[in-house]
Amino acid sequence: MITNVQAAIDAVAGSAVPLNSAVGLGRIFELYVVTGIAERLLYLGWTVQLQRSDGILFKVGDPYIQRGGKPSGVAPSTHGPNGPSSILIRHPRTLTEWEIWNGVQFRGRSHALHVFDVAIVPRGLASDLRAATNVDFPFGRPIVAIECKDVQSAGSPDEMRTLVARLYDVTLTRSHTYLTGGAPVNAIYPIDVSHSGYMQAHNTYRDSNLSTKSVLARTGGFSSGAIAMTSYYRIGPYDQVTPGTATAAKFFDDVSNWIDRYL
Amino acid sequence: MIQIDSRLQPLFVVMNDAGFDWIVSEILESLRQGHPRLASKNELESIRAKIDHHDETPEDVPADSEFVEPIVGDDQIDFVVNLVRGRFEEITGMLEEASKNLRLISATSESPAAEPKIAFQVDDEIRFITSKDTADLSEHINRLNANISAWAESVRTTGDPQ
Repeated sequence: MITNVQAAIDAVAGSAVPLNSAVGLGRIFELYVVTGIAERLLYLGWTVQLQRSDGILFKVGDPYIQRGGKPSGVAPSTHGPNGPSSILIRHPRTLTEWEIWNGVQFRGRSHALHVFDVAIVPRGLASDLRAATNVDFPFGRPIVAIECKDVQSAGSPDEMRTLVARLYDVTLTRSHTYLTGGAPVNAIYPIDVSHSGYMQAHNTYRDSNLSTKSVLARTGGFSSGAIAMTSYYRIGPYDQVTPGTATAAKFFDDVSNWIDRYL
Repeated sequence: MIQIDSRLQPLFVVMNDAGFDWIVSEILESLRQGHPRLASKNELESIRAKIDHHDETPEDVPADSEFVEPIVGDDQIDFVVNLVRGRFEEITGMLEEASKNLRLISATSESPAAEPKIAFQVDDEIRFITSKDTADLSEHINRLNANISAWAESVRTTGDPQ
């Protein structure tokens, strides 16, 4: 009996789809989330285009390259098109442009790096990073941050605390003028404050939470203790985000409607 | 501290040997966690509505530890089999859904790129995933689900994990 299980699990392990780490499976979930949001935005009238890692829009034959391993910063366009792809979205009326990223690390005020599984940032910021000479990191908070948890065990209070702490560290407020030498503070910068920033910073951490979209999406459920901090810190909890479920449809609709309304 | 059922040992060994040691770790963590009380759909919906309406009233929820129910005996076997099945069975659905979304995005793009293939960047390697790869994986997962369920049934009825 166990030999049958062994043969079957060896066959799964030998698949071309990278499953040999928790990261591999999680990246498939993130691909589903990123493309699902983009698909909903199409229906809301947004222009949605696939983009290579060098910032050039897809041409015939370009593959959508999904990050399969560790998170990283943003590579310069001179590194070519073989890095992780992203998705360009353009508002149908204001024509403002944003990019949907997967697995990019953001630098916080502590100088620590924090990955957001899915993040949306101004396209200008992304272009600035691609114009740099080295792999580098955005400094500040994305306008949309989604933590994707592809795990069967119930989401714990610590999982939620971790996301709250990450968001806190990357949030820049107007009072953080010690970072800028007294100059007005933006919400996010390419690399550091010596570069031109994007979006005005808010007065307080609370205001930033109110003006951004933060979500924790799980394929499993949440333990009851995990939801204690969610509404205060405005982190939308979504359970059972898997193909065909009502909560997945609700998740994609809520996130895309927020983007359509506020970006 | 919960006692891990020794009948699970052979399953852990084959998963470990196949490179799925991280699933074994997740299983052990889940068994130690036990069955916590899960937030209900209504509770989660209520929180999301509060966020939408800028309602900052704190949630009145008890600590997790008040609700943990340990997993013991045959329930451990069932729990582990369900966890392994659940870990894999959504993968192909997600890949198919992502592929469909990418086709749609590409078709409506200002510069259509035919049907973009999905590729995974694994270290320095770019690994292309074809629809046949997804179909093959789906078949392998179905076989794993059938075999692991049969193994669990055998363990429960005969006590022999081999």
